[in-house]
Amino acid sequence: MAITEARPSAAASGSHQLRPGRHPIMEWLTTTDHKKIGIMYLVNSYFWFLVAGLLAMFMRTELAEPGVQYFADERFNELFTMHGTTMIFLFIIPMLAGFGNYIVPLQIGALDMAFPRVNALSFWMLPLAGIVLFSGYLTGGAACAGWTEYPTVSLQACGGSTIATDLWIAALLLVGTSSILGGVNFITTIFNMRAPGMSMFRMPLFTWTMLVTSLLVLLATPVFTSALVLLLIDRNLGGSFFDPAEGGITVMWQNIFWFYSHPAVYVMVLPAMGIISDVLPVFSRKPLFGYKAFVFATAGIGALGFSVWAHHMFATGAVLLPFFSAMTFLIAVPTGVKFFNWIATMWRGKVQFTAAMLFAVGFLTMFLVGGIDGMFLASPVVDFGLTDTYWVVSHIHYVLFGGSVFGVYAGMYYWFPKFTGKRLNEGLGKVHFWLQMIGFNLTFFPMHVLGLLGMPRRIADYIPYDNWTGLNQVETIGSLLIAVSTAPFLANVWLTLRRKDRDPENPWDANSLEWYTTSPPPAHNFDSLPEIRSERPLFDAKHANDLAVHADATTTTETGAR
Amino acid sequence: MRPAQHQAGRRTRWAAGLVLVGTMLLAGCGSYPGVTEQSRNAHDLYNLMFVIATVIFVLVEGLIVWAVLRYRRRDDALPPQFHGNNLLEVGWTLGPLLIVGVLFWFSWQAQHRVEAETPNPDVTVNVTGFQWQWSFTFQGEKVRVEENKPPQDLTLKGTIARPPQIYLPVGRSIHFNLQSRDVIHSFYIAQFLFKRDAIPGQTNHFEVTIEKPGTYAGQCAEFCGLAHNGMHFTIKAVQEAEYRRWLEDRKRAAASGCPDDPTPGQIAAKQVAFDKDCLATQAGKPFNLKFDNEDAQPHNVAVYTTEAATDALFQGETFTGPRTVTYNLKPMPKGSYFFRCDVHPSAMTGKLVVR
Repeated sequence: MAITEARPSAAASGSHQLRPGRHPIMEWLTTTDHKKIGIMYLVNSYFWFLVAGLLAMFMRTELAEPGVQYFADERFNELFTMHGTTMIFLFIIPMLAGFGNYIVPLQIGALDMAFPRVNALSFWMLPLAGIVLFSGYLTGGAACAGWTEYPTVSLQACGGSTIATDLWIAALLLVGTSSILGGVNFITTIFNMRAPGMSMFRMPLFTWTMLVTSLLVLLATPVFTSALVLLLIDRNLGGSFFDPAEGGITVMWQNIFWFYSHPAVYVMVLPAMGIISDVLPVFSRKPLFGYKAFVFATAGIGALGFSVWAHHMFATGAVLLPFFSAMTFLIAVPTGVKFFNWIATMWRGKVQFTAAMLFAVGFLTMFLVGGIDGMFLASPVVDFGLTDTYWVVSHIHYVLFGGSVFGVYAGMYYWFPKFTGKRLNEGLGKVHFWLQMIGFNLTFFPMHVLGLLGMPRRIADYIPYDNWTGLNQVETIGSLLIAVSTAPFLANVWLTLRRKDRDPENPWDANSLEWYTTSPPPAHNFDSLPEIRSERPLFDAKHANDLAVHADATTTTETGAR
Repeated sequence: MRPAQHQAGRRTRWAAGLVLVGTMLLAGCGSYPGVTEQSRNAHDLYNLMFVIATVIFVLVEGLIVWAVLRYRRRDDALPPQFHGNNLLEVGWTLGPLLIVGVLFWFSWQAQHRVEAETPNPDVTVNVTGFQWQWSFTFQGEKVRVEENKPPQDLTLKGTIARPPQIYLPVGRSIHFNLQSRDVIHSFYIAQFLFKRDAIPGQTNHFEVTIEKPGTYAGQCAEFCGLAHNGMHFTIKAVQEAEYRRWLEDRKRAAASGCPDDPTPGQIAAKQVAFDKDCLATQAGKPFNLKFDNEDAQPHNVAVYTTEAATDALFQGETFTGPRTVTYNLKPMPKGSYFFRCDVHPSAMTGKLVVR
């Protein structure tokens, strides 16, 4: 079957409703369609991104000058706790799961997720979790012991509220349960619902990363949710798991917490790497270089991710094992392999600077910094000086903002025409990219220097004679630029949705299966499927008669099970 | 050698030289050197990593930018569709593996040196973190604080309003034992390039030898609740003789009730801390204690016989500031008592000396 064959247009396939005639609001509230749920994931997560970004702006405003101007200790402690918690648990993880929801079934030629109702359940827990988390402010003050909530500080009451931390725990139990259900759903979908011919080694890389991510979630998140319950018992029912005054062990929380939260870093980064691995080949007009190496590197990162958690705890003096240092150094290797493969993918290609590609290249250039400055922290000797300073704040933001957020935007610009049938405006996209790129580096690069100068994180105030003021002011200006950079993006989405004309079904000339169907796809996703003989079924169909291309591909390819 | 080749060779050497000089310069403005013998290990290792990191950074960013610019789309022809190259991929797996292997080896060796401890250190300081300050006990430096009790180790306790400044001798091995009374704190001195957590229920320890005299700022680095950023302290590294003089001075002060305080009958509360940890009055006379609460939070002053705070001699009215109240305490017999704010029993404590 050739790609040129006429396919039913979106208009012809109706209004994409499983039950036509229902009120649109009811349709969205009760839908089990993975595409609608995916969209709701994305919208909900992006909303919390803006909220958490606002909290960050408050922090940067306070830190612009020494002394306490706007937010005293009590409020400031709530700000960084809620910023971290919201960004990680309500934005990055669900945002990437949202892309997974929409895209994974399409990439493997399935008509929905394996458990559509469970899928709806995992989504609806998220807005609820957000409301529970922020309802702390109604009780006098939000959670305040940092997103890590180390006991025994987290066993104490927050300044304004005695139950804010319990609300934090309840919200994270909801997010955790949602993640676990989502993980089960993705694994089942990917293992069981692939179209004929879609062998494991023909799946697009984004689907692969969602699979590995889901395995990480399934192994790590239950451990974390159990720890949350232990903390809840300690706080409310007289438990003594973490309180040494009652015979508990304080550091135990850190072991459990990081056993989850380090793999969680890969939960937050691997799918973004998957997005990049889908975007770079399309805009270089080449196949991904070293497909199998990519898959093994992803699996390797996932496996090693479970043996490095204690590098967060070198300063506790409880885990000074060379083992954790060695493993942490080692995890740089598969990441390095990926970098060289990404570069080789662009090598001798035809690189096209769309907004999606700019954000993908932005990911490469920025995530590299997060990988390199993280290497310093793998050595306990260097880590003793740098941990819990702004060096670490810089590192986490180069990984999660320079990595994940750039990846998320690459995905937004790349798949927006799939969601809506319309491309986002490229000009506004480029303005967005450059504003964010400059703002991001102004905000987070000077933090390396502040860390070396000894500025600890999580402080509302610093002493003027420490000479930290100038760098903090640069950072505050940078953060303002990041905030401004979201304006062209939001305007872009608004203007594009209002636009009447539609773009081609496959505007990027992409080759993976999600671009075979209409944009947006019908409720049942595919009217027909092409033959799948490699990870680029659309490319094969287009160049079926092009012997030169084919010979080249078959002599050097390693892809595709035979 | 033909001229073209010669020129190419010279260019390569130039480029290599530039990269080398550049990285050396960058390494120079990397982490500033520490002031302890141990911190030299961290500093050297940091510089080694910084040079390697810079080379990797320049190489990889260069490749990315080169690939993006050199291969930007100029026409619609299909580029060569190659899928991989096993030799290259093995190469760029083994290369990074070798680099991290070397780094781990150096790091491991340095860790042995940083963690090393002498069997009989010259000075032992027991540090206790609490919400929200530090106390320093100089082990073996006995002082008789109260007349009828055995001498105790000299202890200096800070408040947020008056952060402690302690002296330590240069060129001597100093052993720190770290404990916490409530939550996790972290004992961090930036110029030692080192920190270690003070954890409730666990004693941590480390050893340093300060090489350079100077005044070094310290601060709690692990978030520990409301007034986390008030946990400052200062270490003054001096010659042995000056350190001994300072110790004797502190001991004399500790033995004489409230040292250096012209108004031992007044106390203020600010930012959930008392401005002093010592009050004094005369035995057998009524004591009018002026308490100035500057916080918009409830505080009081209560006096107990011991730190266990079981037998109260006096419990002042709890009130919210800003307001000043004068408490009238009945005459007390000679001795040393314990006072605290009943609302903040771990953060706001001190000693009442009746002589």
